[in-house]
Amino acid sequence: MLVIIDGSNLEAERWRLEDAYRHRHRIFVEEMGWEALRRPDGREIDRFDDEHAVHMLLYDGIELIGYQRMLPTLRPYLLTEIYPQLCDGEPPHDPSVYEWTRFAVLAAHRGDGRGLGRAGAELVLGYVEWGLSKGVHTVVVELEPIQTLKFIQCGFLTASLGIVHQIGGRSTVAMLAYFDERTRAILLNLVGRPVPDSYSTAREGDRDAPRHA
Amino acid sequence: MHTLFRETFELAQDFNHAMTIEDVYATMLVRLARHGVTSVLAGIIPRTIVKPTDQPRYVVFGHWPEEWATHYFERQYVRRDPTILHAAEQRHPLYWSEIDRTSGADPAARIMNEAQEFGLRDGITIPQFTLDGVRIGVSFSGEHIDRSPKATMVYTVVSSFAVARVLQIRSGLPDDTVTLSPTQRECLQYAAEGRTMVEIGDRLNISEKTVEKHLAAARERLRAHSTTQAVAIGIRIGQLH
Repeated sequence: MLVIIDGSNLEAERWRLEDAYRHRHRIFVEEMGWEALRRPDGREIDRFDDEHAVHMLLYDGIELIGYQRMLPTLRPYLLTEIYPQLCDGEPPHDPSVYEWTRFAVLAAHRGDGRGLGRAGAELVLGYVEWGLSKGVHTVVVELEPIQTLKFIQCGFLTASLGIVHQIGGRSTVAMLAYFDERTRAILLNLVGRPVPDSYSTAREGDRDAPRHA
Repeated sequence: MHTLFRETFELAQDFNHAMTIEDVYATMLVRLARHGVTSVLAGIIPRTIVKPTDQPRYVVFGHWPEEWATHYFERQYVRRDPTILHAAEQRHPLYWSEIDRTSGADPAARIMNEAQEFGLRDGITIPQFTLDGVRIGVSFSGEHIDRSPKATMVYTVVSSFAVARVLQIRSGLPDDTVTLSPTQRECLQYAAEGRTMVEIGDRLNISEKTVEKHLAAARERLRAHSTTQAVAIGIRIGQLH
């Protein structure tokens, strides 16, 4: 089950969000060693966790197993504030573009950690379906180039915003990933859910050209 | 924003129209010629030691000069090839020009120098992970290839599209016993000939909506993500001509 928390239900879901901050701390600080994010209260929370952030929590029963955070590009976000060197031109500032951040699945649900497991696919499908319902069709993400193939296999169109830099010992590039109904259909197939009849992969198998921003 | 995606959109179209692995290979070479790339090889990086006789099966697509390939597998170079070792362990591309070739005794240097004799002079090896967690190494080679940061991103994206398409082609084949209903086959046959939904509907005396329903059902049976892929599979398994 995917729970989406944004400005509209922030207070009502306050306790779930606390779980999410602890989940982030367990994974990013304790497991992955991002010491700069460590906090004595065991909650990984930063200045971008305000009422404009969109948190997505993936539950397996009552257990929180996955999380991701979407940040609007109309306000300051990680690429503009933390990694500006990754973007060669003007960074995106658009209501249809969100930054995909803090993607974290519990180790036990990650599969082999190299591919996109079931939980990971549920999360990606989560933001794709959320985006399609809200007029968001592109995500900004900072990632290692080795992940590019997975995006393309999922039916995203990708475009890099700059060249590769070494950040925290890893090759990192800022990328735009555009998605549409075709992406959603591929992800539905991946998680084993039926693709609705109304879906048709644009005429004769070609996808529609990307929408204007 | 739209213009940024134009190039990858066109790339996606090009590769989606590639129906066979040879088509994918040809599409790659056309796209990469301007960067000096004249040959491509992509292989699955196995997690365990593979018997020499099985090693060629790990090639996903591409061609190395035949004499080099024979020499390479006979001597089990896959175990010492620095490009393979890099693809197996690292998460970033490796330009062959960065490999130290000065020590003649070092097996890695020897392999790279011997490869040169077969025309594989300059190149890049790019590791990728598939959705299923398989590690793939893609190598591009030429007399002298473009090594700019921009070219590096182009290699990463083109190799991703190529591998994605090849994997689709390879795994998209259902059992030969899968059949389409007569109407599904007719709709798909007309789609293969380039007819629009409206035209197909006219010919079969059914509505456009019904045509789409039949095409969707055909895609479902053939486990195709698109009508174009369904056509390819349909031809491959002898349901269409």
